[in-house]
Amino acid sequence: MTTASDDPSPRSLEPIARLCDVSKVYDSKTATIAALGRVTLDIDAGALTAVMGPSGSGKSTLMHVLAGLDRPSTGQVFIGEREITALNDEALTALRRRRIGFVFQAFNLVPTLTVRENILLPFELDDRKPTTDERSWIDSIVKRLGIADRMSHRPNEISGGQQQRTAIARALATRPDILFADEPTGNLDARAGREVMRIMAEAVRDLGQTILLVTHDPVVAAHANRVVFIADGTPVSELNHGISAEVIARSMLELDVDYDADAVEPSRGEVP
Amino acid sequence: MNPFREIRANPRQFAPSFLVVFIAGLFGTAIMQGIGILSAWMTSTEEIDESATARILIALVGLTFFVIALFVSSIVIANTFSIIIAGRSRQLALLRLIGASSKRLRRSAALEGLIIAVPGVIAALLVSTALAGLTLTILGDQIRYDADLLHAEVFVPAAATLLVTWYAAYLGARRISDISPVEATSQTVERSPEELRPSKRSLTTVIALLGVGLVMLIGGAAVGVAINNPLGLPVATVGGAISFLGFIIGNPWILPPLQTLVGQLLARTSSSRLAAKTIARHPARSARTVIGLVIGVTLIVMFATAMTTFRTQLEVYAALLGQRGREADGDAVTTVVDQTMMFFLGMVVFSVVIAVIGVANALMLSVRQRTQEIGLLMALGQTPRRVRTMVLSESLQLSVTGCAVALPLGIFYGWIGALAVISPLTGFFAPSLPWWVLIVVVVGSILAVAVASGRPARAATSVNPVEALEAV
Repeated sequence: MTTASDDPSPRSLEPIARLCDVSKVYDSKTATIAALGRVTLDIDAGALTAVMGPSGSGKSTLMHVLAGLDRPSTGQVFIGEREITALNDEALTALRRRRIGFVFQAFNLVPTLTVRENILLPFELDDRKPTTDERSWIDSIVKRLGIADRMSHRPNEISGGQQQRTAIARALATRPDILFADEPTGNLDARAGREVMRIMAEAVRDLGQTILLVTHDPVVAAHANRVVFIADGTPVSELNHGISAEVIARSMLELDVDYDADAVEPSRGEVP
Repeated sequence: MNPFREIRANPRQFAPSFLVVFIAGLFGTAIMQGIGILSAWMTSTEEIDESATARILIALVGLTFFVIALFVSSIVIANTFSIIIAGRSRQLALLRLIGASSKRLRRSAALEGLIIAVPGVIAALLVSTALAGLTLTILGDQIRYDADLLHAEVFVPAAATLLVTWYAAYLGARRISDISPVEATSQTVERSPEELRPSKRSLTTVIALLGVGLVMLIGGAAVGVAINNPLGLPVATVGGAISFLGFIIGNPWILPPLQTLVGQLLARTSSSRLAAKTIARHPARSARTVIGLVIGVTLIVMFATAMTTFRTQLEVYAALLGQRGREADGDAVTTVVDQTMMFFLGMVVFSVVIAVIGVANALMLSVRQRTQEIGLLMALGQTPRRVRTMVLSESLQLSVTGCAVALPLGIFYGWIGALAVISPLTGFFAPSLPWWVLIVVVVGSILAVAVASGRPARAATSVNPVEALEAV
């Protein structure tokens, strides 16, 4: 296994993921849209970094490019020491399988598989069985996430909060270098949302997991060690100390964007 | 992904493919075993000289029709799989996201095809052997030689069916390589409609095939009419095969405009207009759904037209000879022609049955994947009866388009064939239309598709609007 963080260490100074002068331009028939404009950003290892911004600010594009889901138009992207912009699709796929974890708003579980099978999916896709060490690791995170007694259930038989915790367990199972979470609480009620964020913060604090969180909710972002604000495709400011929901909300308002409109209208397309 | 798990999770969507494999396998195996029985019987009646030639001839004709049936099956199966894949695209995107390569996903989808084909082929072998055994028992004492029902050749069609299914499933799953992992991150459920138009290069191929085929067809007929030489037939036959192949490959360009036209002509009520819109939203998929039916109906109409025209012209020729004071036994010849026609039509019917299953299956999958849309319609006040009418209307429009294309095509091919064979004796003539065959085939295929669409229609009305709208 190529996972780096076998030894959960406190926050190190080495960035685990980097964007170097990255631009992303979408060409459509009617217009050219610059989703990201020359972004340079380091993501610290062992920290929870939140990326915030209103709809269309480019925060999802930033995450997609950083995770190797989308190719930048110009610039370089690094995960660890490895430049992923140069990788072909096959290599990127293997990278996602082994070194990256994903948690999304839509819980993204395979409905026909049980909770256990969903969690073990990354190993199955890698054509191998988890080692004894990995098994005990998975057992420990499953216990920690409180889904140990739900392992034989299918996703439709458990609550939304439990589904999202299953997705987190799957993302943590391979001990990825970095975990990407895009509005992970977006489909949850307030209580389940708080629970999920507590788990994420604990994964960073206790397990040394690196997490990049994309959200527009100041309460969710308040769990982060660092908050990066992005508008019109570029990071405009950030918070490193004294992070609270109030401070974040105030910073958002100062961004000279219509935050109220954004709060009413969720950042991404939803089913009616 | 584990293909067994996919099949276990949703076995019903594979039922039509299983049925198609069964019918194709049964047809092929029955031909091989039938030939075995026939030659044993001929040997018993001591017509040894004739038996070898007859055996080869029947084997050749039978296997040609088996290949046609297999071809139609492969279209149906590839279409089924492409629709299954489209319906599974969200889950496939998720698997891509967490690190499954598209090659691997495509291979495992193809494996699903192979896995469902195995029991289908085994069932076909069992049923065919049982039928052959029954035939032997009925013939009883007439056969003194052993007919070996399980010699090696008997398994060739079964093996061919297996391989073709595997490959067709692989072809049908080609859209997997277009599924982007980013799709799994968004909440939009419906994927942009799958529209796979062949490349510019294949358009050139299509035009070349159509052009060459047409020239050979007309040339073959002209050799008969102008030079009074029946050698035009092989030229016309090859030309016909080439141009038909061009037509089949070119169906994504040729059929959609006709579908639009049929939609405009037939869609008079709101339900039928909705049906027309569904077809128009997936033009390439609808074209592929219909093409199997087009192949079957074209072949039926072609044989019927060729034979009927041939028969009419023979009667004309016999009358001509009679006027000149010579005797001609027209009745015996026309009886043989009629019997040959029935034999050919019987052989094509297998392909038509497979094509009808294909249309019904495409409708079923299209209904399943529109659960949300149908739920919305019902929530907005569409009655279950009108939802059923909508599905029925979709099936009607598809089969009408298929027949509208197949009839002229079949008549043209049959006419050219008859011209090439018999115009050296009689000169140029117009085709004689086999009216009863045309009526039976049009009414029959529209009815068969309509009946087969009953289950999809019921599935559509069983949608619960509240659940459909909540489904994410």
